[in-house]
Amino acid sequence: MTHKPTLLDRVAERIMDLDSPAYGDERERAVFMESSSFGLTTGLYAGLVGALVASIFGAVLLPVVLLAVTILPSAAATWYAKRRDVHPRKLAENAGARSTMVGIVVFGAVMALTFAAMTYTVLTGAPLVPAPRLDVTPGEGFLGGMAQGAVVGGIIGGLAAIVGGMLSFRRARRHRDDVGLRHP
Amino acid sequence: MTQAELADLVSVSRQTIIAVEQGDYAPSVYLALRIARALGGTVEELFTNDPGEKR
Repeated sequence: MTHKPTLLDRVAERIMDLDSPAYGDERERAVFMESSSFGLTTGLYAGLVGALVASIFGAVLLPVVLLAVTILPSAAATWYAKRRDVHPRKLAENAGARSTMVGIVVFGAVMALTFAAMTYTVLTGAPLVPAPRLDVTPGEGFLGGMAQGAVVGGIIGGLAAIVGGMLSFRRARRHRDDVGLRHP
Repeated sequence: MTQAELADLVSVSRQTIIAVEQGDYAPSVYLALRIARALGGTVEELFTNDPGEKR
């Protein structure tokens, strides 16, 4: 980094923990970073499609939240790179890659369509496409039972993920100790 | 020397050694030097820059 580290830089370093052995060797680290970038791009498009679909069915707040959540990781990635004197947009412009242009056009078009659908809803008071009505009372009927099960299952699943992760971490640490490869 | 032994010597995974051997991964200078040292050769002897090979 060529700039004096700010609090945000220190938080980012703490979150990334780039010296962690969890990243593996240099090739594994490179693949991990590529896969993270792929995940970011996938999330970007998923959020975009979700915002468009929600706006078509008459939602106004949800598309805005989804678009904000979609743009945030991309903005964070751009900020992180700029702090290290890498400018992704300039790189893309200088490379003149067709795939970059296609991505920009698709993103812009879907955003415009999303806001167009929201404008329609705001001005007419009705959604572009009426959403199917679903009356769900938790605990009643098939859908109510599913909703209740999903909520309880999610809580149990989250706790199980924490316990499983901790057990896995301790197992790996014990294995490293056994082969004498413990990192300080 | 097996791939696993070489991987242990240079502190990378066996999959990384395989990727380097198959030309799917270009090691860093540091890793290339460690591999060359482990095999008793030089980087120039072990790594060629043949444009016909896979990346």
